[in-house]
Amino acid sequence: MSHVSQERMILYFYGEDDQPEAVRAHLGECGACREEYRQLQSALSAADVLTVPQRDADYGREVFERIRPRLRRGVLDRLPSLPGFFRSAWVQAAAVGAVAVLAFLAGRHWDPQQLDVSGGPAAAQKGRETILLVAVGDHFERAGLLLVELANARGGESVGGNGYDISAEQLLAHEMIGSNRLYRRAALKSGEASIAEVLDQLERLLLDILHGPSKLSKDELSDIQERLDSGGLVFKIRFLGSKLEDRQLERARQLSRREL
Amino acid sequence: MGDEEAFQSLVERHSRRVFSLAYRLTGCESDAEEVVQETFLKAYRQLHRFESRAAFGTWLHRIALNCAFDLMRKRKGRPKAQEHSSDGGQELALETVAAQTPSAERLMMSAEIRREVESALDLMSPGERTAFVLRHYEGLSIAEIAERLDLGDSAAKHSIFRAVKKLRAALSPLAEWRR
Repeated sequence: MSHVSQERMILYFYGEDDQPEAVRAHLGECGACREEYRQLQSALSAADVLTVPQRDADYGREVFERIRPRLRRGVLDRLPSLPGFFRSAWVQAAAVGAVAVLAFLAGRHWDPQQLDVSGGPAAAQKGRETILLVAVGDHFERAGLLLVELANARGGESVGGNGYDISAEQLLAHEMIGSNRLYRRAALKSGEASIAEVLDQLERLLLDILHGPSKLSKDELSDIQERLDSGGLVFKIRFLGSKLEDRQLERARQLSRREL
Repeated sequence: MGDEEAFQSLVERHSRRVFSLAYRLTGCESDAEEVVQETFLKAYRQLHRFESRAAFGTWLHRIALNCAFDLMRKRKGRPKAQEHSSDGGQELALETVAAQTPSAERLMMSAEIRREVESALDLMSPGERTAFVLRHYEGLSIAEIAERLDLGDSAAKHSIFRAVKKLRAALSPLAEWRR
């Protein structure tokens, strides 16, 4: 093999070379290329000194407070005054004859043509609904990762003498519990029984994780896994998550058709 | 619960990651803050277009990238407020910083390396810098970078090559000193 080009070394460094074995072998036998690669590594490692200024846990709230007035100017001021997302969604969806949310969650066909995307109350309702769809979808995605992690945990691998460490899951549960509660209340208010029920089930589990020990015995871990299994929570979250995805997708398609 | 609260939870969850990307791309805290705000405002206005075949975080990342890219292009050519000290003539080692030097000197060396890296990033075009940041700091593959930047794989690859060459050129005095 001839000498390795700098370009190829860069690909090799990032694990993107097609034949890394050949490069590795050449670096093992060619002093010039080895020195060249060492210098490249040195430069790229130096780039790691560039750290990002820290932002604390309240940063997201601060960002939101800064953009809140512009959100209102940009979107909400164009909409009629509505007391709450779900309530308004119900009233207005009924007004246009499209009880899209419940029909969809009940697994019925939703006819997007019934909704007006050009403006007015129906568009307002849809804009608001979309935000919540995305937020709950994001929440379910996160919850799904947490639950799958627990469902697949093998007690024998990490238990050892100290128990299975779920401190990372506890941290995540702590972060998620507030949002979960908000979404559950909103779902209850709107009569979205299936979402509220799953969020309620999830909330109880999050609380148990949060307030339980950070290291679980094999039996404790098995209990949680059985609970996940018997309650079908992972499946429910995935099912509802995919329903939410379908709705968002349909909405995007609907918009595209209108824009053509 | 209103839509603002729902959106707030998304902002709270994703802000720090967006800031990190924006800072790496712009190299400036105030610019990064501007990008963060613009990203969420744009996301809020475009939520109806969000197709959840991608995760929300990925979609947001793409918006942040566009916002940062626009700002970088706008800023390009405008001198940065901070000064780089590469004209000081003091050439310092790279990876030998650790362990071999007293802590005060080590700190000084780290600061110098940092300045040189910042200087190198500033010399990159917006496209080169974006590709490099996505590859080096964000860990995206070249194929993913090409997709995010709407480029061919080859163009994405060459942006990274050019960026790395500029980085090496900027750091070469330090590497020379080490010998």
